Amino acid sequence: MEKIYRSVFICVALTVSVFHVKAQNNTNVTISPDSISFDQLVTEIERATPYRFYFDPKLTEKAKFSISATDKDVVSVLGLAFSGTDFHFAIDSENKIYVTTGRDIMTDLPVDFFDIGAIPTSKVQSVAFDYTDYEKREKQKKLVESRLYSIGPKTTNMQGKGTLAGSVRDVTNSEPVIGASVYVENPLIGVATDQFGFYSITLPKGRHELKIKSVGMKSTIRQVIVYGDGKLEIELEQDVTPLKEVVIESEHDVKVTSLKMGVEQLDIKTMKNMPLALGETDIMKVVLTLPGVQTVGEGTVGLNVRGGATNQNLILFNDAVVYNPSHLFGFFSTFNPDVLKNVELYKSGITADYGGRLSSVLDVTSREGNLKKFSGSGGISPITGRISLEGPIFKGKTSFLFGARSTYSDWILSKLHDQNLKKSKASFYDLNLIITHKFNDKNTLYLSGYSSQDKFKLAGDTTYQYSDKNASAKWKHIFNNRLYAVATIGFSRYSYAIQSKVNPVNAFQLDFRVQQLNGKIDFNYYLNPKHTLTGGISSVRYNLAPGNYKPVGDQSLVTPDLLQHEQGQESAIYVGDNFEVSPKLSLYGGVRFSYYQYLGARDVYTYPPGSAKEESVIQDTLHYRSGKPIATFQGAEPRFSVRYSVSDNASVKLSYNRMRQYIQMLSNTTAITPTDIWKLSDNNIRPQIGDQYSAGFYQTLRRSTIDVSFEAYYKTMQNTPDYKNGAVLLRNHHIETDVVNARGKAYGAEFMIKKTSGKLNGWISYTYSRTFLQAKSPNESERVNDGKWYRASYDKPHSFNFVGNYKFSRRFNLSLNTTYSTGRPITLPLAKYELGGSTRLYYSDRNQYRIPNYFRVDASINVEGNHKIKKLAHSSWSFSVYNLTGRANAYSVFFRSENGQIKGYKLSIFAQPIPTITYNFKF
Amino acid sequence: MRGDINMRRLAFSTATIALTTLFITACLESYTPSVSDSDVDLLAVDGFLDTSDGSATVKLTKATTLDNGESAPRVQSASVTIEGDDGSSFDLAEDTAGIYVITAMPVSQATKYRIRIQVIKNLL
Repeated sequence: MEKIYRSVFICVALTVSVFHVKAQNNTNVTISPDSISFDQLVTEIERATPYRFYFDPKLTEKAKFSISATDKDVVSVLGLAFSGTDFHFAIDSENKIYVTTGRDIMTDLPVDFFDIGAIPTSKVQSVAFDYTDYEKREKQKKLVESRLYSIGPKTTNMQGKGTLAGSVRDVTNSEPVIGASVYVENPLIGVATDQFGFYSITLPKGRHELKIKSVGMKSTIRQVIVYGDGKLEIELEQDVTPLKEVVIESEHDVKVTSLKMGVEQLDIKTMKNMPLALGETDIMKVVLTLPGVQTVGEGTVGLNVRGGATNQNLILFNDAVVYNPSHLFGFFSTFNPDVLKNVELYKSGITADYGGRLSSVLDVTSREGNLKKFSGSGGISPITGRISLEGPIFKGKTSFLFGARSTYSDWILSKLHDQNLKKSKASFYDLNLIITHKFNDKNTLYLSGYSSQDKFKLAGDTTYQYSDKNASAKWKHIFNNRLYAVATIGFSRYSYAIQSKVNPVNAFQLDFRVQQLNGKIDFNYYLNPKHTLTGGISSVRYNLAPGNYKPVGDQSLVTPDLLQHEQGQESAIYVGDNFEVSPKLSLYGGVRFSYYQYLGARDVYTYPPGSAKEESVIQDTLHYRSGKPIATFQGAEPRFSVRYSVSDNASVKLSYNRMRQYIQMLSNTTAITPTDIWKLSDNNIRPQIGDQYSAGFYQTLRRSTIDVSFEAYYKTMQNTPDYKNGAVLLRNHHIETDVVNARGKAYGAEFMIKKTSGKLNGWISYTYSRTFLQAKSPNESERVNDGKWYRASYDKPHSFNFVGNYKFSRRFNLSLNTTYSTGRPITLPLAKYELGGSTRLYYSDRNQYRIPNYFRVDASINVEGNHKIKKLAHSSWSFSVYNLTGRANAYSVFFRSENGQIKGYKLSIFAQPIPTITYNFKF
Repeated sequence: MRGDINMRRLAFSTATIALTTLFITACLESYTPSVSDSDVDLLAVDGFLDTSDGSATVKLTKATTLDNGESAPRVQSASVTIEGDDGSSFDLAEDTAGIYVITAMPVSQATKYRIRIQVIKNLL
């Protein structure tokens, strides 16, 4: 069959060529009138030369050209005529001129053309995979790679430069590919795609081989001839485990060449290979295995990044702020793995477009939904079930992605015989909806909504309930190849309620809520190949309801207590410049200026200057009307980074950044309650300011399969809140009397070796880090440890992580995860003594002691179903064991009085190995 | 049909096992932090000076470890002295074990007093 097609095609080609064997040697032509229609031009050329035109009259009938040529060859005449228009021409060896609009056509067939031509005969082919989908795609890839794309209106003037822009997308579902390198090697000019997969590269006019590379995707090339500014959309294929081993090679590794430092980028594919604690990929747990990231306890998802407190991380989900990233006491994170695409963690080198938190930015982005076909995926584990659906609403224009997750733990608990467990409840759900609409090439709208609820009750006592809701709308507008803007509005709300009805007389409910509405516009301008400028403005309106305590039921004698609402407005303007001085040296400089006001309506307390803030010394109560500023803070936040390439695969980076934070979380408990208080900076509690200096060295070894990095940092923090002894944070009308103003310093070094490809991949990291606080004050009650430096409660000097995956075959993969860290500091009661007839406790200095060190090993085996292409659903099984060695790691250490004795206890949550089986499917 | 039911039961028991392990693996162990003896080697001074009649009582006890169920041991045979910044000095006598007293001490409102305690090392 293949042969027949081939001979028929050759016959036709021969017949066509027979008609035009009119040998004329003259190829030059003279065109005199200034303005000439397309038809006239064709007649003129066909009259004077042996060339014959092929074109679509519909496209050419209205075209007019103004040229004047005397005895010029046809190529330059057409070049002149078509320059500045959308017309292209191509001349084949038989003197035929093909005129097209928009793009060139190839007059020579690519090498594999006839093989491609044979694809329609698939019916004849047996089902055997001598022509698999994979090979077919390989052939198509070769075809696009050998084709020559001409960029911009054709011109003979090849002086100067042209800007090529477009987006890099995944061929299977049109998802943008973030962080892909787009570059030419000679001269070395390269850019990386942004969060929209968008790139803009300015090249000298002429022919180039454009290379495109991205982690987890197959590298590809495009032959381009640049005449001017133009667009080029690029599709990449996923690097699915192929039959033949494909070695990913990138001469210019992203980590070595990118300006970003202290930034960890994880894509969902890497994360899905890690062992699962409770049958689900959890990005927060993956992030915790990175160097410089720690947590205070097991089962909490609070991150401590480089000596920062847990509230100093800006956690963004599709640009909306997430206040509580955890479910079920922190055993799950709020991010549904099926809708996620990419996670970026900035530990240092934070660019000026981010602001509002001191230590890090965790930027989580979802996928956009499959633009090409309807599909879905899901998973079932013993505790949770999840499903996601996606597909086009209007093909090629609008896509949606819906994800839902829930527990059935309540139902299981109710079936148990243990009375305490029977009365316990623990459940959560979350929903995601993402809609992306592409109006045209220049305008795209992204909508994202998230809603979750958690509810738990232990042994029939107090019910804790919390809910996170956020939404964002983002509109991206491309002005031209060099300038685009993104306007975003976002809304986030985090609220919780604590309810107890055991004793009807004091049955109560306590509500807390923090919400914010934010808007921003960001501009990105590719000024020239050396400078990329960014700039923008943003504003956030905060609204907090810090406590509403009320009785529940008729019999309750609880006195209602409502804390005053808090309002604040934080606005910022920023500019930044990415300056590529030379291929070896690049700089980033940026500055953000933030302006914050704490706003009425509110009654605020004033204290005598210099004296300790105590309830007993409150001097005055001032009332501020609604919208009236109570306190104003402002300041510049400079950000710098430098990258210098020592060699092709090694670089040194330095960075400095200053951050300001106007909202803080106050929490003095290690208990598993979501009862943390968020507090805006006000006339008594000043905003936090942090400065970080960091330096790093990066090297890739063995043809870029191994990344080695070493980073060191020094950080100072001002106005970090810590607490007086015995501080009460809930339902406190004058919280400033329980908070002390501390300053902090942190330093550390992080070392990581990462193997990104091959049968064995994963990383090893070691971090040494110290964090100290100091609360100095002339007033004794506002000092901690007598004004000396003391360890922060999350100071954990040594931390070691190993994450490894081994692929036995395409279907079996084993992964192992090991974590070790120093136990966190704790304040211990040391002794008992008697005073005034009663026994009292003598406490150590703040954070003088440590709980035992933490160690855990997890393992999992993933088994993929068979890889037949025509299958209803693709499935995989995952068997995992969390805490393989069964070590009883301390979750918390506490003391209680029993028969005159003070007994110490250590609570471990996962004191035994926990096996889990998960079934995942995809259709 | 029979097989179906068994499968369901099996699935349910797997789920139950996993969830109960989640709740039951939580384990509470007694914990004695390794605290150095020097941190517990403390003298508790509970004293009161009555300026109206010039009487003073000082009770000296030793701090004990947390797991001690007994009452705090008294510190006996110490020398307890109240010293004024005007150079005056008053010795307190041990009344009952560990309780040191003085009566009718001339107290001046203009004077600042401090207490000096000397204990016999091996008794502490």
